[in-house]
Amino acid sequence: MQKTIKIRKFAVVAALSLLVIAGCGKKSGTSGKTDLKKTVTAADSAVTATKLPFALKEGKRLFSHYCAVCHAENGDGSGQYYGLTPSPANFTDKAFMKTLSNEKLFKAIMGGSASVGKSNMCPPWGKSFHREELEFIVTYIRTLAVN
Amino acid sequence: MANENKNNSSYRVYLFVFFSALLLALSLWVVWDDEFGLRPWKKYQEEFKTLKHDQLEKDYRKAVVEFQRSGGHARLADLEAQLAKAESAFQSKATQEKFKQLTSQFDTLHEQLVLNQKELQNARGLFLESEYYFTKTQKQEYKARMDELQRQIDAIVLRGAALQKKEDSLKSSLSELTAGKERIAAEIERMQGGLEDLKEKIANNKKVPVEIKQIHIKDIDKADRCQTCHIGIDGKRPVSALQPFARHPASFIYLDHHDPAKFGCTFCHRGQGRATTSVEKAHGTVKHWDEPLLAGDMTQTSCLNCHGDLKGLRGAEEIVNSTELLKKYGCYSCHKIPGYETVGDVGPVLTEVGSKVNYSWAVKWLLDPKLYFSTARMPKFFFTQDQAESIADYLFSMSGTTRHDVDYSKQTPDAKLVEQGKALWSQARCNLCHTTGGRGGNHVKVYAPDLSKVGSKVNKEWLFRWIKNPNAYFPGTKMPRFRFTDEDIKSLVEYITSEYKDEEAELKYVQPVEIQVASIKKGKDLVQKYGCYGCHKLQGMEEMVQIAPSLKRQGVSFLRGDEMREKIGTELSSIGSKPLEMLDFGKLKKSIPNDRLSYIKQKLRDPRGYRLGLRMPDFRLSESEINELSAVLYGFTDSNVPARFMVPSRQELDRMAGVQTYKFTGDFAKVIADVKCTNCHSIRGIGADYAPDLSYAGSKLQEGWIRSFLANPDVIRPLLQQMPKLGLTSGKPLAKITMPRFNLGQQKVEDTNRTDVDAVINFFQQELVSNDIPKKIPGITTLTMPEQITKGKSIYDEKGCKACHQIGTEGGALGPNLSNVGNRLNPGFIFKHLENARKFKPDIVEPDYGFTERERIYLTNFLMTLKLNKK
Repeated sequence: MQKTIKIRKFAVVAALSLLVIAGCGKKSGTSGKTDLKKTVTAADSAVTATKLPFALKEGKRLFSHYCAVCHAENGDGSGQYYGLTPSPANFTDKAFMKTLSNEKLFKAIMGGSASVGKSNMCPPWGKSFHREELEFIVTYIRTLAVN
Repeated sequence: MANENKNNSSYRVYLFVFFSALLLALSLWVVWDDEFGLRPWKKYQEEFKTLKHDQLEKDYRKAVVEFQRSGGHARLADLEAQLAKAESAFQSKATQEKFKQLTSQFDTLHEQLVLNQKELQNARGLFLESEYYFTKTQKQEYKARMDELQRQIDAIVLRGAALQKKEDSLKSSLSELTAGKERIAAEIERMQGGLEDLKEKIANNKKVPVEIKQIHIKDIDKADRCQTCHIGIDGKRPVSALQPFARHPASFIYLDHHDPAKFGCTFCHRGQGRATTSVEKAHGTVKHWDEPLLAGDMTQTSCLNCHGDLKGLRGAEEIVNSTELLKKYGCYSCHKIPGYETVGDVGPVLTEVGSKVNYSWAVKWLLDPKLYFSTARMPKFFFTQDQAESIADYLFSMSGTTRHDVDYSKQTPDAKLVEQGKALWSQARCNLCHTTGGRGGNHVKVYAPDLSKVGSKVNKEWLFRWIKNPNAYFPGTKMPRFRFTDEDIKSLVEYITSEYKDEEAELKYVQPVEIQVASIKKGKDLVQKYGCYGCHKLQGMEEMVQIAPSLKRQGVSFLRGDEMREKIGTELSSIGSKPLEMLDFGKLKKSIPNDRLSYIKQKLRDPRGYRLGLRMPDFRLSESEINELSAVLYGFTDSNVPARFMVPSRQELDRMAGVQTYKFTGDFAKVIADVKCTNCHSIRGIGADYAPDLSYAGSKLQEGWIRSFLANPDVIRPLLQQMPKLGLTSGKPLAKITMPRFNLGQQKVEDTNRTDVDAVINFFQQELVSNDIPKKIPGITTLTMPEQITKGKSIYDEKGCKACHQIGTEGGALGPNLSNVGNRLNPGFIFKHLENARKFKPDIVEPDYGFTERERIYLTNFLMTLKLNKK
């Protein structure tokens, strides 16, 4: 009888210590396990007004202020400024966008349409923006064909 | 018994062994946790180093490939051979002998030169000595010695010059011998240098220590360790786009103006700067840390900490838009908000509202303003029918004794007057500010009321008086006084009341009914309780302010004048940093997240939801408006800002410098008060940005053009004012938007005999001039004027200006029509505008073409020839 009680006591102590160890293990696990994915989600779950990355958001703002009047808000080239010849590029055309490399797009915005051998209707924007701003615009234009 | 003892001891041994193992395990865990578990950043830094290494390695490999592709190896081998050849030539016996000979010659010459120099110093010393004695004693012997010494000095200088010349020629012949060798060596160095640099960078990257990286801002004792994980945040080149290695986006705006070493990170982003043990802790998204990380647009709320003027601040676009909402809804009327103390009234004066509107309309409006028109700014107070009637009774009792309505639906309008009024309505461009049934209202920031049902709201007599002189009824209104004749106004009133009426209006008091005194008393109490005087001026309540809670407890029920100034709502000066325990979540404690931002958003969503007895009305904000407004409120903090960070607003700077804030003076001030130019135009920082900035109009515009434009405003930028940023959808038909026709020039300014156009022009030419705009453009003497004009024209065609600008019938409609630009603008302005258009309008669409000065002269001369002759 006595023996079974002792064994039981031992079992209880062992179980408790296991619990303690498990608890510790778990704790160290959470603080240690910090991979890239988690960091990103943590940043998202913080006080965030929007889930859009900065480049897209800023690109969109610049696009709608400077470009959309010809290229339209949705980028299909039918802006308020109608009747242009040649008509403004259609950024929603997937086939067309496939043929257009980022470098060429960047160059066309920077130096105007004339710099890539087209008409001179789209002016050169290179001197009006910071290089990073132009990259934002390119990033945003890239998303137009996907949606 | 013995058996039991044995049993006991074995039990203890088991226990001992078990706990020893446990202790060992714990010790190991402690060591592991201290080294790795609590230092997750080590992994990040190592990873970053690997990424950077890969990048540098790639660069190096690319450079090597490039080196090989361009035949670098062959060239290098060639150069090395050349070097060896030059070296052996140099080592040849004849050259060596010559070299030695020259070197020894050079050495002896140099010795002589040094000696000569010493001699010169000595002679000069003696000369100074003699000069001293001569000035002291005036004896001739010293004078003679001085002359003698001067001769000696001259001789020594001459000799020195000759020696120097010799030495120089020797030097050049010496370097001739070694020059070829050295040139080749330098070339080799240059070719190898690029690759060596890259190699060195890789080596340096390996040496970067893995450690906590901390920024300490001494004056407020703030320590940020964010860069311990965000290690590439201020790097010149992006190493990875993934967090935590990404670069700060748009660092040319943010980091370039806020050096991380001086500002740290948490100053703008909040979060827990000292924490390094886990992402959640560092980003402050843990319990009992009140300042969670601000990311994305929300970060812009921190601009409010230091920047006084946000308008036009690059990088603060979102928050500037949001602050507009504070003005739109007039939050400052009930809440104390720093910086908004002097903003004007939100609602109209109500003292004589009884002579303006129908009683039935007033009651309906009080019950729910949005029922009358959907864009109404006045919030819903949740009044009962009875309460609304009491308030209306109180308001009507200030100018009369009855509840009364006027019903025009039974009258037949005078068709001829209506016709005239309609013409006048479109001529005066009333729709620019006022909407009628979804049309118009392009200038969104004036918040002019919708007029589609106004015929059932106001009476004709009041409308006549209002249009004739709006300032008389509501001093400080945004409504301009148009220079209409009485006949004009009569026709306009007839048109408005007959065209825009509410078919469903129930006008119950066409037969006036006497107002009950008890109801007036009740209405007045309600007006006091809900603080209507915050937004509306009310007679007898001009200085009404809510009592402070401390006084209320002492039994004071209402105060007047400057006894105790406090606004009806909670002070919002530091709502963005208010401790959580001071926010009363009331009955929503368990149903919404307990953080500050959620509190603010919920308050805006449902102002009376936290508990019973709250008085704030419901503005029925859209979810996006709630987000924007809460972002602004979150930025009102009492955080500890070092004075060196502060960027005071222009107003504050003026106040500190004791300078009077810019004010309009003289006759022009009278014109402005009447026509309200600053509703649309901005002049020296005063006014709105709907229409062009007039701060330098005197230098920009030609007098003749101003005269004809004010008399008959014409469309200048047909498409630009239609840009969607002004709240228009692309589906709308193109309305020609331009300045309303105020009929200026037809009346004299009060107390003077000048017409208002003269007053405007006088002020423009006297005050609104800029020294940056030259009166004349520089001339080019080598070319005749016709040649310059032709060149200007060809630049105009080549650069594609006509894509946006129109001349005659050809060209686009985005930029100003240039057909008459030669009459409109001064050449100096065109010249400067072509240099940097953004100087005059920071968000101008026109790009910078980078014209040279010559090109600008050509273009200006060409543009100045574009003139329409007056018919």
